[in-house]
Amino acid sequence: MLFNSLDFAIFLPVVFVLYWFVFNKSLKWQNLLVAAASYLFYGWWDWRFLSLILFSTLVDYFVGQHLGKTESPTRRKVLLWISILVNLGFLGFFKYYNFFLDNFKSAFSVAGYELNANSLNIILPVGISFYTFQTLSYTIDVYKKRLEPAKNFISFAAFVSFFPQLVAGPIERATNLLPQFYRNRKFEYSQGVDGMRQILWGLFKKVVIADNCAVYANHIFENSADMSGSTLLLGAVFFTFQIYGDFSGYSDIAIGTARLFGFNLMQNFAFPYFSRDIAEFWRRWHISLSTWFRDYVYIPLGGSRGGTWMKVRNTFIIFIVSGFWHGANWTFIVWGALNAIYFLPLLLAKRNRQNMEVVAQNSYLPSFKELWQMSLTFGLTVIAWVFFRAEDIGHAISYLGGMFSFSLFEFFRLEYGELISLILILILVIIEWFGRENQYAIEKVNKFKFIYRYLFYLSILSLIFWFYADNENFIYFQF
Amino acid sequence: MKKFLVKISFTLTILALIAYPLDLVISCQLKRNNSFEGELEVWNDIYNATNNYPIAIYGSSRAWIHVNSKIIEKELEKPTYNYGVNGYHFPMQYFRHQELLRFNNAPELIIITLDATSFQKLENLYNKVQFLPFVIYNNKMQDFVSNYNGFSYTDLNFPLCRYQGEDLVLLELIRDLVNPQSELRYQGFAGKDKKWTKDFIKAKNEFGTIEIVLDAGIIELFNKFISECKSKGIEVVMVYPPEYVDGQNFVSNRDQVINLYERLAARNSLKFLNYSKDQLSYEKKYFYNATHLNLMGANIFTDKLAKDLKKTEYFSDN
Repeated sequence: MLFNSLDFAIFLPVVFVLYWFVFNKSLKWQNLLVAAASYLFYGWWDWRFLSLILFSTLVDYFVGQHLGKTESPTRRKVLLWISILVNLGFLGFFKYYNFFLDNFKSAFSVAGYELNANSLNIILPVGISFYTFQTLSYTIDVYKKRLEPAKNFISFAAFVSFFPQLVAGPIERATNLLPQFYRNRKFEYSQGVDGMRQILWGLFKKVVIADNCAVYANHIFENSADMSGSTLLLGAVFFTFQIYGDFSGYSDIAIGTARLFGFNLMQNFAFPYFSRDIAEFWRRWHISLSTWFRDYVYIPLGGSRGGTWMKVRNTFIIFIVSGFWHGANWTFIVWGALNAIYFLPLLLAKRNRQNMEVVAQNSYLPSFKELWQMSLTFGLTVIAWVFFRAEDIGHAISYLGGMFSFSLFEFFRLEYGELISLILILILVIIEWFGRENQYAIEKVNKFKFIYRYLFYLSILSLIFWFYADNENFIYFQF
Repeated sequence: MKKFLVKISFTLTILALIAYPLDLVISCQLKRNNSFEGELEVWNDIYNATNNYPIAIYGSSRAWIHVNSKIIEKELEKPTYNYGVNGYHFPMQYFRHQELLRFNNAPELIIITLDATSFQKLENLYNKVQFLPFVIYNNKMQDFVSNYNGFSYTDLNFPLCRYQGEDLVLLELIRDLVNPQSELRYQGFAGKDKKWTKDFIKAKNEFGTIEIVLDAGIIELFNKFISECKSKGIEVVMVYPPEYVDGQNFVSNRDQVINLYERLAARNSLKFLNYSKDQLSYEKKYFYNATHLNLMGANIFTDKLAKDLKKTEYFSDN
């Protein structure tokens, strides 16, 4: 079920009413409703893959329970590995089987051997990378004794399948989300209104920004061979905003929806395109994934302790694994590696933590230095996104080759739709700039006077209404 | 919770309260627009119940571009209106006829122009902007357009939804406010003062030749229309306007279609004025594409048609 669909527009109020008015007497029943609604939400897309979530949930629940009962290091390790193998096994099979097979076949072919193995026609279950990581965080935290095992199966099932963030995050830590299923939840007016506001902003980013930019980004990327450098640059910029609008929009809707049910999810995007360096960008982009890799991969590998070589190795591992998480294609691996290359000079110069606070705090405009830093970081990001969007490495290289040719300075006439999309991007950037010190851009609109507040909501609603098209899926569903 | 639900209901109510009047304002403004091939002008004339013309011309673009109401009016000395609806087959022409009768006096004479595609099925709405200002306020139109692809359930039942994403309409409304334009059609007619274009060559390169699939349901509807007209005392004359000779073999079964029109006319004892092989068809200068006469050609053709109509029983009796 898509957030921007009529199905969800019916589903959400129905579940909301049942949750607060029918099942409100018992926490257990509320959690059961959340789990059932989440399974319905997921099964709407393809009910066959519900068995996958259920199996994963059962395995991790029982692993967690047994981890809670044993102190034997060997048994604990075995239990942890059972969970890791089952979860990563599913992920590996559904997401990476064909990729590895094809690459092995190519490698053997180069060496003069022919492998007789056929690729399988595998459907990638929506959101498998997200809920796999979420449930793994539970097992690892229980293993590390940072978290008590789940108190009951229903709460745990609801935690794994929690519909607002099931298919595209934020990837919640068990330490944050699971305890919320044990607490009695009381509806709070301010939280409800805040949730609605964040949903509204998420819809704006998805429907107005991402879906509009998608039309032109797709067109330019699909016909890149015939385009001038300036048009290719425009295509890359459109994709840069498409992916931001799409993914951060989804996260906003997810966080807002969770708030309607009394849950607090972590912030997933913190105005990443206002970053002054790549290190800051990665602290602000897909925060739930970056911190997941930091906590469960980077730190166990030694993090930034040890010598320079160790730091470089760990940085490359983390970025390449992060790239590979996005998809079974060399383009994602190169995208990750490129970001590692961007990051490395900052790490080596120990300047990767120099921009920790919000840019131009307490002032309307950035300084020239900040503007230059933001533009440079944005430019580097745009180049990296070309690898993310391209069909294959060859396509990415030819795209960038075309972009950085003399035709980069060629004048082109903007189509009407392109102009509209650029205006909409400008609106987004202005609103996000003025809201950059908050959790999401329009969080503080409730401080406006009644009439201005409603006019603002009405304008956003009008834009969503005008640009709504039900044909665009969320990009991150494929990951 | 109570406060939250009240606020949500309040917001939704405000939206609903804004939506209906806004829909009405947009629809009223759009009705005044003379773009979109002037179709809105014709619908307005029908719904304003001001069209009590004894002579009515029906058909597709080969009616409203070809038959000059002014010339017919002058020659036959009776007020004439052209109800040709661009890009549509007979069922849409019949719907317009029904709406005409619902709001106006019935005409005495209907000149129905036919072309190769008149009895062919059509799945998608063409120039759907012409229905936008009326469709949610007119159940008959709502039912009729729902037979085609073009409007969703929400478009047809909820205010403003059908205007969603119609950038062109929005721009036209703004243009109209800044710079209102005069009417495109004169009593339904608008000749095209254009020279020969490459439309036909483009179509021929794209499609080669096409075969028209005649739809039995539409033929039945046509027979129903004729008998209804007879019962109301409305005279009907069938007309097949000229087509440029090079384009005549674009439709592979053109002769079969024209034969059908001849048979229908004979069976219903109607006059069929067939200009498919008229001298005009050999003169490229009178066309802007293979199936459409330009203004000069349309005036010559209408003159010829008026003179031929004068010789029909209807005019000799009246």
